[in-house]
Amino acid sequence: MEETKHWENLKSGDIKALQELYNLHISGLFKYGIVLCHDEDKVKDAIHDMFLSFWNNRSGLTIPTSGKAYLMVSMRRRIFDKGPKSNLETIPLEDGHLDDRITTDHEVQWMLSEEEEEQRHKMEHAMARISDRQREIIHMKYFQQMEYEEIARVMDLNYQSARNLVTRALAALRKEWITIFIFLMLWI
Amino acid sequence: MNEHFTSYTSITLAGEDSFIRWVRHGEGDAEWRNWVARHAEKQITVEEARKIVLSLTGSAIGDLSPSGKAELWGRIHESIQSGTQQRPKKHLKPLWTWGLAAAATLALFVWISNLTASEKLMAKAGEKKEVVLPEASAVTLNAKSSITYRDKSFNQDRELYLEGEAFFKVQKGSTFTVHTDYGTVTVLGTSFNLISRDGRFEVACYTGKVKVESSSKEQQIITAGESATRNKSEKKLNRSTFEVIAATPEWMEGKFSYESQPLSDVIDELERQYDINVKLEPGLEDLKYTGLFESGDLDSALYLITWPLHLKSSTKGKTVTISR
Repeated sequence: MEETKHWENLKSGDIKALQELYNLHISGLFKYGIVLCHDEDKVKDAIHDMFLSFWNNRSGLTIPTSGKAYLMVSMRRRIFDKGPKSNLETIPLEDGHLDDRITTDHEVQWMLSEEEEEQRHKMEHAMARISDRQREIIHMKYFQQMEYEEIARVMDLNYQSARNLVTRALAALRKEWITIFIFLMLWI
Repeated sequence: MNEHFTSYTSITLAGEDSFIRWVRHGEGDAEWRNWVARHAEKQITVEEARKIVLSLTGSAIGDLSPSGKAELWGRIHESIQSGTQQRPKKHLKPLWTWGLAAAATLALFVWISNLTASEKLMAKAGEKKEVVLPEASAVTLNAKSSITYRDKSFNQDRELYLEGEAFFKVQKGSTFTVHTDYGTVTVLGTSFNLISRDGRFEVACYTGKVKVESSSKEQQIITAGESATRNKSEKKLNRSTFEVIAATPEWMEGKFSYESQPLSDVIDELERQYDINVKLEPGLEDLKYTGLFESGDLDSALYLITWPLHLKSSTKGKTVTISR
């Protein structure tokens, strides 16, 4: 596996291997972080600290079987270890600091037709109403397309509990979502 | 095929890995179709489960922009170069631009020691790849595309070679040059899309200014909203305008739209996006297609391409046949 090679190279002090791993995982990791805490600065800081610590502790790294799960576990610890989830500490923003997100949202809006926009809106509403853990697992299972084994490792569950949690999450989503299904049937 | 699926509800089915893989990637298509045929009473359950999976494909969470990714890597890189053990309390943003210049010099020392002559990064068929270059410019590679550069000297010469299609967001600095088989593109700091594939050469400028030179030494300078194209047949550079409605091209969002373009071009892109092989019935290549398809679900993409032209398609593994 190509990724294993990057981890090995990182262990032997290759900074480019770290960058390869960054390129490989940054999107998934960023989105997962946002699902966990809705705070872009906090997620970026966590990613920064994580990669810095991989570098600083590279010689002692164990090469993970799933790099993705490994990084997500690290993200989870960093986000949850830093106090309460609702981010009370407000950091004053530097000029232009919000730029990234604003442009992305702006771009996304251009891309969406009104119908899609509405569908996404409904989905966000439904997603917002299910529990944190349900939202987290739906994100990993469907948006990041992860295997149950990986998800179980990240959330520290066994395989069957991960499966059950997905079932419960889907049931909860569906409850919030009847309107979307009707919409989809007209649409597809 | 697992017979106990008969006891599944639409929800348990939608959580089943083999089912998700069928809906998303068409894996085990024959077995699943066969199973559905044998359990007609489950048809509604299956249809509902399919919709659940399909409606959970696009996340509402915005990704970090390519420049955001480049910037964050810049921060990490700077912390590494300065030997930081932990993140400083204060925000680094205004500082790292300074730091990057220093980091670039330092980085050379690190890189020189463990480099091979050149670096090739590629996105395979069915893939899209985002890359942050050593000097923090961001490149998004479309499917079946690659860039090659000498990483030993990249920070200084900022030169690379492209095959296929990519969108570049170049950090301001010295000249940044992209070489291709059909021409060269030179910029200072800007964003542009570049296609160089099968004789086609097309540059579209999204911000700033771009200098285009074809392999026959013809030069054009284009600005935002302009594109320069060299066709397979005529070797001249043609200039045209396009409307910049978003900061990045559609393909980066997995959308591919066409206006009166030969079906064969559309099919070439489809093959790259889904890593499939399409057999087109002779005589269909030059049909003109207007419409769009998206990456993600091959069935819907095929449907969107075939129905306006009154064609049909059949899929067998990785081979798709399109006929009248």
